[in-house]
Amino acid sequence: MTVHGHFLRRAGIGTDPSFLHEERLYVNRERATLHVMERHRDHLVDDIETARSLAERAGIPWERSAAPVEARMLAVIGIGNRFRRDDGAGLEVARRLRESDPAGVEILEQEGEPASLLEAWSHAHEALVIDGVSSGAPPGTLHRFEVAEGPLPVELFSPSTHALGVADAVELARELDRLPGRLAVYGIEGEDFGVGEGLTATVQAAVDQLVAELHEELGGRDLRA
Amino acid sequence: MAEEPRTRTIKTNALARVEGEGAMHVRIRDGEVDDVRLEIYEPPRFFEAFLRGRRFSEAPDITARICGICPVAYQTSAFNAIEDAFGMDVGEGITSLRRLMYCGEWVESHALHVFLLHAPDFLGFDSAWAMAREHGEVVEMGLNIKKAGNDLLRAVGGRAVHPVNVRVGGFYRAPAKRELEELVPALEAAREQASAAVDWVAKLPFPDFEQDYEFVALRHPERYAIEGGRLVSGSGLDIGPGEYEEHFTESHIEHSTALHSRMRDGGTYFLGPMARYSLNSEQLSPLAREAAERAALGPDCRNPFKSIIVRAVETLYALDEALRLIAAYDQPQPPALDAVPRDSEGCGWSEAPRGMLWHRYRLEADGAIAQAKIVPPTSQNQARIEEDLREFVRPRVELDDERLQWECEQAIRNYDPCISCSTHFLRLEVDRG
Repeated sequence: MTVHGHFLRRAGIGTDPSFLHEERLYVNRERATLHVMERHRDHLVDDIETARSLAERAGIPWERSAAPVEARMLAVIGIGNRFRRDDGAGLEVARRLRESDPAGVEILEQEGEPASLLEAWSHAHEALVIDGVSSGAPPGTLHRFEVAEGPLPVELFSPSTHALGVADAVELARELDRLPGRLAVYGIEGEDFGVGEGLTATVQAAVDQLVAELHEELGGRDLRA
Repeated sequence: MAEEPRTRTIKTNALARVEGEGAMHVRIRDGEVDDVRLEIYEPPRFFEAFLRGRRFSEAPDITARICGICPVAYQTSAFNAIEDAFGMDVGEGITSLRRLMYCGEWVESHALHVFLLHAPDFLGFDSAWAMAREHGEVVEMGLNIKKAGNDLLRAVGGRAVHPVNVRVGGFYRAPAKRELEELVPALEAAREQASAAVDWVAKLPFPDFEQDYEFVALRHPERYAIEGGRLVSGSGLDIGPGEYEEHFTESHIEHSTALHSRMRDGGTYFLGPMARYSLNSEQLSPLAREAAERAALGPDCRNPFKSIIVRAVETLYALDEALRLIAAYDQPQPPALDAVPRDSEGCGWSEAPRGMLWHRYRLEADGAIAQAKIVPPTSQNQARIEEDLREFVRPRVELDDERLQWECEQAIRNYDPCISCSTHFLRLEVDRG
């Protein structure tokens, strides 16, 4: 697993007792994670059984949901604070995409706190991040970045209502070898970041445009393959 | 010396998009600090207005949105206040589960601050990722500890951010013991790492800076106060949540839209890990006390830069306490008591990772919120941070502006101010006259 492999590479394989100690901690942690996942799986099976028997007892028709459960490999992460007007643009994109429930896509809404971002995308093969930004460009401008091509412009993804910005999270992930295979970052230029709910009209239009674009992109791919 | 007055704006970094937050002004005259003013916190006035007319049951979830890092603190203070208004006592089982969830938040918040925000200051890195380049294993350790907190919060609260499982009166669903027991191996591993983390932060270089603080923190007769208690101070204050406004005042400061809190006698006070540690350290678990001893913290700590050690000790404690609570866990039945609204007023508080957070609600007979008041820890610490900066800048006026900004930011981060203003945000204006 990456954490462990990364650690070996960084620390150098050696017999330093403190290193061996650290390594043991990582191995224990991996084992613990696996254990938890197995337990979760067992509980899910139990829960499905319980739900099925309850439905039957109550006379509610029950059938297996049409779509098979697929491995979720693409993560769409909306970032922002919906109580800060246009800062909620990224969240709005995520919410809208969730409505259509694209297959094989995990849709998340986050605050932009870097450690949680790392966790959110580190198990995905591909991740799309959408954030509200302020760079001085006309409101509603869509900025697009492929992280593989270089660092994000810090002035664009600088912290606002978030502790550290998306740019920090990306660089942290790069250092720690925790970037997904592809990471694209979309910035929606905001107009009003004051307290309050609801997007400005210009930003709402940009959200509509990006949602349509992402629909097309996600719809054109079969992620279950 | 040239007497031509000048005000130089050293850095205007970030936060341009949120006006009015994160500015610090230092006025220097004849080599002496003349004035220090800080605007770092915008109080949650919007939320207080937003709450009016809403159902009491919405208060925990709405106020949780004020902060992505301490939602549990907002939720806990909210239901403490509303349960106070309704005259409810949820009992030990529910209280223990709330404390367990709160431990998850302490771990998450402290690990984030210690490893990603504060440690880079001490080591001369301007970001966590620059630090990760040379200290990758330390950052990994921090992220791992933080993840244990996330997982705990998710297991009890239903989600890692903004827990959705809590309500006035208790929980929508209390986890089964086996669900919590699954967390044990990861929590144990994180506890071991947190212990190593205390030793690591203790070796950081600390400026020689001590102040005579008035520490204020909750105290509980039986345990290190987190989810409730009475408010005590180093000089003998001992009050319940309903008496808060008799002893503390909030006032508008001319230079700022923010409010500063002071004690009634006009003095500043200090909230947060260092206050909790200095007032209640004898209630820490043996493991946490041993770690504090190894780090030579002593019975109290008055160097705010060493708050990073105290945070590491509290992280260790929270993990240790979580394991204790899981071992003793008995699934509360029912998971919540029914809340019966009445025409009432109630106050409640809890120890957010960055210090005591107070709420007051006035409720109508039908359960609608007539008035809400929220006093967060960062606005209470603000006046104290300014005093620290005044003392801190005095022997450092000769530093160039860039260096001065760096050191001042570090001094502000000692207080782990709320997330919306906790990082490299600061607009510093040095007016050297």
